[in-house]
Amino acid sequence: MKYDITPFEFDEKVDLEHHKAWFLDATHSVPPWTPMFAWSWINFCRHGMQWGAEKLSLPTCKGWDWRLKDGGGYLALLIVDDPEEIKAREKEFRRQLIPFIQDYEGVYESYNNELIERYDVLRDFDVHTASNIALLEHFDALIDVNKRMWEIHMYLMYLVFGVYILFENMCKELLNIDDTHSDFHALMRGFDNKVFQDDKRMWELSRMAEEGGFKDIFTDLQPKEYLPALQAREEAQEWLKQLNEFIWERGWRSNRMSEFNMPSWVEDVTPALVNIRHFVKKGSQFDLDLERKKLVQEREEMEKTVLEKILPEQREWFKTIMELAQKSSSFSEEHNILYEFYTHALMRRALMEWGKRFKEAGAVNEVDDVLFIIPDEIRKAAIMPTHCNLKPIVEDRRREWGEWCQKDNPPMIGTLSMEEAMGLMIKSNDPIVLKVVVGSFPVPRPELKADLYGVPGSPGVAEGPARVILNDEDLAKVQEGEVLVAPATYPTWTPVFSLLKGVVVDRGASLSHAAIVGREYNIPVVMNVFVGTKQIRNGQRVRVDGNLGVVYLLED
Amino acid sequence: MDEKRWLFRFNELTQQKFLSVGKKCANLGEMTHVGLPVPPGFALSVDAYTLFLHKTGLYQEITEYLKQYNLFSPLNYSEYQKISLALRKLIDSRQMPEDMAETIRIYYREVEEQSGIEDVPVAIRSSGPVSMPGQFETYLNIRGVEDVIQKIIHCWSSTFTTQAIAYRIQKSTQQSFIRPSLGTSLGGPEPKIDITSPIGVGVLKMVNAKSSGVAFTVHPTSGDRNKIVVEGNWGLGESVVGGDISPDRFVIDKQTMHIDPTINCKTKRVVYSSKGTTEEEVPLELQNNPCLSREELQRIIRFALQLEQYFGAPQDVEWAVDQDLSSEDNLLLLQTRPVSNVVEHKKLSAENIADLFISKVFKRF
Repeated sequence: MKYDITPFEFDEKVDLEHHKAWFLDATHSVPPWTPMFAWSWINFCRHGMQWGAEKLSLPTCKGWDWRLKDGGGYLALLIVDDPEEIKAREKEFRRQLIPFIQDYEGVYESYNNELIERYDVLRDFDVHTASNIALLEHFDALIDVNKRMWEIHMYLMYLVFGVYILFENMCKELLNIDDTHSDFHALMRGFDNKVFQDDKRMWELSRMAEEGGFKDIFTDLQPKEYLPALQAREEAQEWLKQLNEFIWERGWRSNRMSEFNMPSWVEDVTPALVNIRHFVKKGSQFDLDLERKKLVQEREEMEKTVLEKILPEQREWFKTIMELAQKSSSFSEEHNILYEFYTHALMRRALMEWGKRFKEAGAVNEVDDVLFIIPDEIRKAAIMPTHCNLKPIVEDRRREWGEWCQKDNPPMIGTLSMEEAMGLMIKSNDPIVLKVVVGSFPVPRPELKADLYGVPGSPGVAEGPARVILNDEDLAKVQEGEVLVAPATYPTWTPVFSLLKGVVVDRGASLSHAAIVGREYNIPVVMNVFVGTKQIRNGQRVRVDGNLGVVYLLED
Repeated sequence: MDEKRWLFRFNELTQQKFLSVGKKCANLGEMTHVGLPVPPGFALSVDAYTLFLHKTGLYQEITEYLKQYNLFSPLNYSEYQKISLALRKLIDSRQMPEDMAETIRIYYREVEEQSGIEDVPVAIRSSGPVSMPGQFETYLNIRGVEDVIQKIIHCWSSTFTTQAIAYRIQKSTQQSFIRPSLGTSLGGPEPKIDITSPIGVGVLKMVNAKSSGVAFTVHPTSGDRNKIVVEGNWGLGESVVGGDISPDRFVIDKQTMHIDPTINCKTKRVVYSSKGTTEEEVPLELQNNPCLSREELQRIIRFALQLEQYFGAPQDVEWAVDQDLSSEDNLLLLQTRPVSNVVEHKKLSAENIADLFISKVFKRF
């Protein structure tokens, strides 16, 4: 079965000829993508990876190839194995690296500014009053910016994560520590980033709500009731104005990164209000400020200690690599908001407008039917939606999507064992594969008598009742003092970290969201336990040991 | 014979002159144009070197002497050593031609008058058009004009050290490099290989340094252009440049002008002695005191920034506080040069890192 929306649909007859294994991208395509998002990802995320790898001339990898199967994104690595070609690519790669090493900030800023300039124009476009043709032009401009966003995203990510791996390698060689070691973690934390700044703004709003005497709205009502209640309260009007300003600037994000089917905060402010509620519950301190001071100091001390162990003549370049590697934490957090979330939120706004117009014209039944078509089908209906019937296609695809959501897509398609396939992936030396997709594998250590073995993501030891979260909607259930157990965490989850005592994730590597944010919040994180969400019950007391990378179940 | 002028006061020099007087002296001249205090003194241009070799007949003699060797193929070290010894002896034993000596006497007298000290102690420094640090000699604390003249000749003869000769001969051999005679205008013969190497010589009033040191207008190790780093010790600057002791170190933020001082225990200092300089213990009560007053430090910062702005590039400045002079103008600058090596170094390190990146991250399999 297939959506039949792209030539990248998986074809059993030919696609196993060149790649013996295709891996499900579980981080981004579970649950299965709607057709519109699948189209966007398969076209542009795929393009961005190949563009980034090719522009940089990564010696051993030309990016990833992608196929779509049952709404799942499957990937295979384009590995270079001709030694002559690798040698030639190394030369160009070296040339590309120099300006980045000399001026990381400059390179990062200039790409970001390019995107921000384009976003500003698109954001200020009034989708509701635009003519059909103007909306179509706007939509095409969005597709174009989406493509560019992925180019920049992957180009920078290869560089930043690559230098992180280089630093880890040097640490292994010179200091005998790797990126699961707590000394290494100490070097990589104590950094601010724009996501934390947004959290701080929401914390400030929570303080204002308390001082303004309307925090009861957050403590007594259900999330859906917050906004109407706030609008009805005289004393909350100035507060709402400030909230609006914040949302217009920073609310181009939703609770799901890799889909168009969740509203952005601009469309529905509830998730932002839920975050503010977390901070209302939390009380008068913004933990991050306090924690950060301590972490910065610890990091600086660790930097000193580590540099003293390095030979004087190696110190300078070691320090340069360390400083570049340290950028990976803020890059990793910030880029999601500025890159994927922002473009996807703008795309969603235009798509919903199409949905509304098509529904009014009778071309579709529901506004969000628009997520079950692809851009060419939008073009087909755009100018005279009254003269186009998209209902049969939507109906078919909705049915397929519904069926796929009921079953799990297999983690791999192919003829290899999982181990063989992983070994193949690692051959690419692809930094994103190594530090985000695959990560380190847990080594069971029976002498620890732990119940679950994983990999340390952030140091520390903590105990608390488990809160198993399988999807974003359940996030509001998190209570202070709990240990979060999840398949993985995402940038929009950051504010709940202030409530947590520890985190356990099924999948993740040292540059995954859970590890980076756990380190900044100074709570233990254990990653790659694989079966955490299956074996841990809601409310069960657990002990998370982020130094050893293990979890103990304290109750049956 | 029409002689080119070969002796200049510092304030008569600019950077354009550096080919004839050497970088160091041209630089001092340039500083006087910015209005910065440098020690009184003068510079002998490369023409003085050439003139000396020709007037004394040394040029001929050197050419004659070298005929016994085949300079088109490399010699062994002991042969270079032999050549060096012979030539240096030849040059060092020669008198300065009287007319040249007389000119030098006139200029030395000016320095005596400016500083109000008879037989004023001076430093004599070689100043090459290409910088070859440490290759040519420097003489400190020389008193009296006849000794000055002698040391100038020594400076010239220091272009014939074993290493310098070996370097020049090997270089000409490699490139089959036949230089036209430097002396054609003087009617001299044309040797096949010219192993002379004209240099300038600077003669500066010796600073009776209470303390001295260096200032960088860019952080010398991190390359941070927003920082100034001043380092100093009691006594003459040799101890700071030589790196034998831990000097006081002041890191200044250019934006906020915040000063971050590190005062070290300075146990030794370099001072004048009857013959040159010597190292001695710093009196106990001074060892842990900063070697600069706040006022002196502020002046160094101001001067260094002025130089950086004037030359449009980060500078490495040598400074000294002269205890002979009144507190308003006791701070002197001895040298400034662009800190090109920091930038170079950065580049080098970026390239190193790129290589590491390839070998460690994108390992071939």
